[in-house]
Amino acid sequence: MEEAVAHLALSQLCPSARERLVSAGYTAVDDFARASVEDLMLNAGVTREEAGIVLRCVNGGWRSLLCTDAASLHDEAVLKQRCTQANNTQSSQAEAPCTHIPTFSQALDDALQGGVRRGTVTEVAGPPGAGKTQLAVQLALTASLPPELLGGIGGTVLYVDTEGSVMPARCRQMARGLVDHVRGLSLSGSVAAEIEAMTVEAAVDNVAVLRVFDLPQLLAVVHSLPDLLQEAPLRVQGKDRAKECCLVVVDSIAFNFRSDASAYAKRAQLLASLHLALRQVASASNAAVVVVNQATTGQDSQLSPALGSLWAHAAHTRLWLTKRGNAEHRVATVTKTIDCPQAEAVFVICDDGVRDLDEPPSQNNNSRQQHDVVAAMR
Amino acid sequence: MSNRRVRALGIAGEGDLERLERVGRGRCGDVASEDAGALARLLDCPEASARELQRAVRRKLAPRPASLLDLCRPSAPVPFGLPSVDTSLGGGLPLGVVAELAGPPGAGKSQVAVTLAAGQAAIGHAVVYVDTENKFSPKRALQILRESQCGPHPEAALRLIHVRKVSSLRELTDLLEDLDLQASEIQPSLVIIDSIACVVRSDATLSAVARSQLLSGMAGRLKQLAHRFSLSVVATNHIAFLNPGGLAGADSPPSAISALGNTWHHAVSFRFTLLPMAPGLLHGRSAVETSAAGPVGAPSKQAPNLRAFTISKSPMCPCLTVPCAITAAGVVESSA
Repeated sequence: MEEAVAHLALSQLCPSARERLVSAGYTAVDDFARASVEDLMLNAGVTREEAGIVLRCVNGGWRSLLCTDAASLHDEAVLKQRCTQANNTQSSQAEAPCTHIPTFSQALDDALQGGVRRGTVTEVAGPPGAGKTQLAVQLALTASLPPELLGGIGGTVLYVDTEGSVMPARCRQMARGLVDHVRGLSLSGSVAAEIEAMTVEAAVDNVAVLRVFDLPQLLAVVHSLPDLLQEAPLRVQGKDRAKECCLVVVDSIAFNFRSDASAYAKRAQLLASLHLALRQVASASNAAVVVVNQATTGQDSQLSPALGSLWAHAAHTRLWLTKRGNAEHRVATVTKTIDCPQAEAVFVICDDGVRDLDEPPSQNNNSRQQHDVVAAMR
Repeated sequence: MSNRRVRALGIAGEGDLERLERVGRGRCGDVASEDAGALARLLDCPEASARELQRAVRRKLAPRPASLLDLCRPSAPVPFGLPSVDTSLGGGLPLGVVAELAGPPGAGKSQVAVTLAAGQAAIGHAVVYVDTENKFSPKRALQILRESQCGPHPEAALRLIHVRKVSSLRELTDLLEDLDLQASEIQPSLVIIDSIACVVRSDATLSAVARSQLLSGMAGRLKQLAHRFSLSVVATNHIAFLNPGGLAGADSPPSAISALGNTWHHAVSFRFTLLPMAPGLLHGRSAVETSAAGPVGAPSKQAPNLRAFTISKSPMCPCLTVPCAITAAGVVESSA
């Protein structure tokens, strides 16, 4: 305890002043007992200001341990304030806060016990072409559904794109599939008005895309997430409530690390800082964080998630996606979970997006959807 | 953006800036990716203020979010000239992406590349053709332009294809840097690298790890180029067969994988494969399975000019195999 206080007191100073105090023999709390500012100035050659800072900290004792630097205090306060506001609004409407974001495949939602869980970090890994980006885009569009409908959240989405794999035309196609599916349910009552108001444009407008080109930019974005999450366009006024960001997608986290040869030596340290930052954002803002990871060939020629064993501990939940046999079938294996057994789910990726195996195609036929894609590209 | 000097942001004091620049870490990217403790030691200041500076730099370095709706801009994709493929892709290869075309030797990858280039030149768009194997033939390009009847002046269209020859990895990386400058003058809609596998695989000094890092870095630069100038990049790649069929007692069928490794496969957004046509293809089996049945790389006797063009990875559409033929007018879809 006392060591911690002394350490904290010394860490408030710049390294050279710290070294001067330590070499003059001021290392433990006892050394500072009954010392005055003038003593420290004389014996260690520090300035009046620096001596004042140290003594105040040491004499503050245990209270000083609770002070952290202004920056992280600010971040935590901002996020907690928003979280409390969100909870207050939601409880005043007598709704249970939605805890999962569904994937639109019942099999996969069952394996994940409801979908991607808010407030936690979920990793989706797999070989090239497995469908990781498709799943991430589906989650981003589903999050825009109003809370009364199919388990949507009614929130905005921040999509950090490091590979340029987000194809706007494809997102429109999937959004149309989503809207058609919802309209096809023919629900009535209070949700009917919400369904009428849903458009492809509104669903797509809900997603804010950040295109990142190199590793320093990726680090900058992840560490600035607390600030980004509370700026417009991620905080927009909805009809009844302020929309807040409920999903952050990083697609993919591996690409920039693998392209940057100079950062190889610092990779472990940078990954650790990213891991911490993502977990903090997830828990403070109650958003679901989905991280897409690539695959690497291990020593036994088996594919496994990239970025090594250190990163393997970062996510709360891990999914491994592969293609199976028939081209559009996908198998998702839940390899690490919080509270559900490890399970496997099979789903398909079709023109409408992520769906279950035996689900019939939406009422509009494929040619109409192709027409949409073509029209969007002209 | 990461290369911008911290000095230019106007957020740090003169003393701090001098200390950073003295050790060569005066760029935004350096400060953003440094550890806070190391930065504090460098600037000789409390860790709290080092973190504040880092936070301010990161905030400036992070891009502004753009709504996905705003990104849905109409654009003219690059057609392959194969109607089924182009319809499936929504008009053709989208702009701003990096694609790979893989195939065994003699499959016709360069023919597809020349057809693509001719197609763009015919509608008045410039093309940069990076030739690493010294096999680009202007005569063939002119023939395709004439046969496809693109317009009254095939020679003028030919001038829109800018050919750059490189023979080593170093030359290729230098060229990519030059392209950043040239692309704003030439304004190409398509950059073809035929072939990228050739220069990378021929460099014997690279270890496997160094090679995959280099490729990944190159893919990143190509993506930036594609995004900044709204063009598409198509790179041709070799196919390597893991265990060639015909070995006595081999139980598993030969598996065809593209060269250049896993990291490169992740980096490209679209992957197309070109294989010689085999009899089973017409009955719907996948192109890779059926080519395993016959000798590697040899066209079938019945249809020596027929090829199977497969979309094997695409974020836009499901996988698809289309038969096509190499004709005087380039690579066209075959109805066989």
